[in-house]
Parts: sequence; structure tokens; C-alpha cells
Amino acid sequence: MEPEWLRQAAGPGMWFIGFLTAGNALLLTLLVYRQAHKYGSKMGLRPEVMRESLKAALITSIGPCLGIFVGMTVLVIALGGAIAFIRESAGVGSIMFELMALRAGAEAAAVAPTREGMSSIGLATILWTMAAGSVAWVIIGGVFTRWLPRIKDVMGQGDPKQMAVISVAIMLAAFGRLFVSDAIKPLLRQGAIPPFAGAVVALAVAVGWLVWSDRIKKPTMKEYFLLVAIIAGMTVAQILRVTISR
Amino acid sequence: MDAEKYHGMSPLPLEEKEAIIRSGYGPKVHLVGLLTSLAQAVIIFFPALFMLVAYGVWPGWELIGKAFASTAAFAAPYWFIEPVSYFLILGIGGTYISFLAGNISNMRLPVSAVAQEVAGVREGSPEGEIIGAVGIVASQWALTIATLAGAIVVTLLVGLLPKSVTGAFDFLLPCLWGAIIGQFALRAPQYAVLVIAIGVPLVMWSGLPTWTLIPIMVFGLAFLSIVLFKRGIWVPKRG
Repeated sequence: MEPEWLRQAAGPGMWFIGFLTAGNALLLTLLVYRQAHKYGSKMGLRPEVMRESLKAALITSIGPCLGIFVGMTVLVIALGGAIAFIRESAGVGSIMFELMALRAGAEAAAVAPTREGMSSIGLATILWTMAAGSVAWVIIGGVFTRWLPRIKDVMGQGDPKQMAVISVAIMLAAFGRLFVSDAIKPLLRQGAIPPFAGAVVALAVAVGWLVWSDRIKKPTMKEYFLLVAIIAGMTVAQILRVTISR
Repeated sequence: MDAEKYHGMSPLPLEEKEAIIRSGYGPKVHLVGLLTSLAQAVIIFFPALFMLVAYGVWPGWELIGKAFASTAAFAAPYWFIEPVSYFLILGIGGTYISFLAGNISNMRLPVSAVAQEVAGVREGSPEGEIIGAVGIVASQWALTIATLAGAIVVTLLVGLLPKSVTGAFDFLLPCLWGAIIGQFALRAPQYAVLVIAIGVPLVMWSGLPTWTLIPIMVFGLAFLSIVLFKRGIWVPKRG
């Protein structure tokens, strides 16, 4: 028989809240898209350019969505499908944050974060923790974004080429930090070859695919570079893991 | 080559395009972003409030306070650092969606970058602002479908798939970072090398808290790129 906390977590009421949460996020996307389309056209962006970018974004999203799909397993098992849907569709989404909040809430309530160990109080504590821990992102992003364009003006100083160089440098810095933390650090600290090898393969495949797309003059192929690179990298990493462990 | 690479750029003068963002697109998106974010700040508490109202389950302030303090110790710096650090990449519309719905570094950033690449628009340009937002809009639709499907079927599917397949997803994130580094390394290989050269000692041996690494690397490299650009060092010959 299903424990009471799970009936509360996975009942119709929680699913309704899930659709409300996801629905508010989708409402924002519709409103933003409307403005982007309207002002993009005014700006002289061709309709096919916007269509191509939409299509590319959907294809690119497949890779990260697959990861989120699998990462949700822990949340589904621990808290039920409805809450996993709420947190992953329009919560913080980062599995690292969600699991930290889950653990913190369970510890405070002195329950185990498992199906057998969880209680209604434990569940409620976790839900309050997840909400309180993530609301600041929503409020700060929602209230202060209107002043952030000034940072861009200061950085770019009216020169589009300067702004382009800075934007690329910032992207490299943000992803470089993550690359070092998730691929290089495990190699240096624990001798973990598979994540490093996977990341390097993904990097090489991405470079090769993009260069090849330009060379054969088929820019639409670029839509698939991320998915292909990730699959190639994950495959190599997993093969190495299985091979090394033997 | 430059015209092909940036084939999506609008022929209008830059001042005109920036004026459209500043006085048209920007104010409208700021308004809808603010309103939906404030709504989300309330909705985010609905699951916990539902437990209280529907089932009378209230853990007490002490339990909530303990758990929140533990979570905030990790998350609090990112509340402030991430909007400022990522805004330059996400743009106005992208920032509102990203901070309302999450999944920023693993989804929004790469999707925005790829959308701009495919559209042939320059990063940081008014066109990049629009196309980046369109890309992030698409990512949220994909995410909603994926998370709904995941909530309903994932446990069953994961139970049926062999471990050799599901195990591969342990490496999804490092591979994602590698692929994106590859994409931008093509534009600025010197900066890619520099990022790794600086990033390794910083992450491995600096002893600094993790939450300081993003602003140090992002703002440090942004400042360095401005200085080098003004001196004509590592400036792309075209574009």
C-alpha cells in the first residue's frame, strides 16, 4: 500500500500545481516570443533566420533534456512524479541544488530521503526548503534584470566588435570553469579518465562537425553538432569506464 | 567569409537596432518578466502551502530554518552572482526565462549560443539578443515536454534499460562543457587555451570557495578581453 506522504505528493492537487508552475513559465515564453518576433521583424531579421534558430534550439535542447530526463529519476523515486515535474520544469532545475535541498530538508526532519523512510513532515520540510532556497533567484532575476543592460553598455562601450569578443570570452570563462571542474579535476585528483576522455572527444567532434558544416556549405547541419558531440563523448566515456573496470 | 558567417545580421544601422531594443523590446520584456517572476515567486511556495492547507502538515519554523540555513550556505552567493555573470550571454528575455525556470548552465547557455551560431548573428549584438531569446523560449518548451514525460515514464524506462546505457548519462555534463568549449574555441582559440591555463590552478589549488570561481573567471576574462582588444591583441581579423 502506498505510504500517505506519497499519496499527498503524487495526488491530483500536486499535479495541478505542477501544471500551474510550468504554465506560468510557458506564459512568459509566449510573451517574450511575441516581443522577440515583433521587434526582430522591425529590426530587419529575416523570418527564415528566426525560424532556423527556433528549430536549432529545439534540436539542441534534446541533449540537455535527455540528461534532465535521466537526472529526474532520483527526484521521481524520492518525492514522486508531480514534485519532480514541478522542480525540473520551472524550479531551479539543477539536480545538484534539488538534491542538496532534499537532503537538508530530510536531515532537519530526521527522516531518510527514501520511499520507506520519508514522512509527511519530512516531505513538507523539503518542499519549504526547496521553495525558500530558490525564490531568491526568481526575485533577483525578476526585479534587477532591468538594470543589468547597463553592465553591457559599460563593457561594450558602443563597439559591437568589442562586445562580440567579450561575449565569446565570457562564454569560454563560464564553460571553462565547468569543464575544469567536471572533466580535468577528476582526472588530476582521482585519475578518472572516462569523464576527461568523453569531454575531449565531445570537444573534438564539435570542432570537426562545425568546421565540416562550413566547408561543405551546409550551415543547417550546425543544429545537430551539440547532440552528436555529446553522444560521441558519452559513448567513448562509457566504453572506457567499462573497459577500465575490467 | 565574414558575410557568410554572419549571414543573419540585419542591414539596418547599429544605432537604429539598439534603439529598437532600448525603447521597444526591452521595456515590454522587462514588464512581462517582472510580472511573471513575481507570480512565480508566489507559485513556488504552492506545493508547501498545499501540504499545509489540504493536509494540515506544518513542520514548524525551526525545522524549516535549519534546512534553509544549510541550503542557503551553498546557494546564496549564486543568487547574486549568476544573474550578473550570465546576463551578457542570456540577454534580457533569456535572463527572465532562465531565472524563472532554471537549468541555466546545462541548457539555456548552450541553446542560446547554438541558436545564434545557426542564425548567423554576432554575439552581444541586438540581433543576438533577439535570437538568443528565441532559442531560450524553444528550450523551455522542450524542457516542459521532457520533464512531463520524465515524471510519468522515467522510472519504468530506467528500470528496463541496461546499466551500460543509463551509465553513459553520468558523463553528459562534462561532454556538454567540452562541446561548447569546442564551439567557442573556434572563434577565439587563444582565449580557450587561456581559460584552461587559468582555470586549472584556480579550481584545483587556489582553495577559493566554489561560488567565487564564476565571477573571478567571467569578470576577469571580460576585463582582460577589453584590455587586449583595445591594444589590438587577439582581435579577430574579420568580424
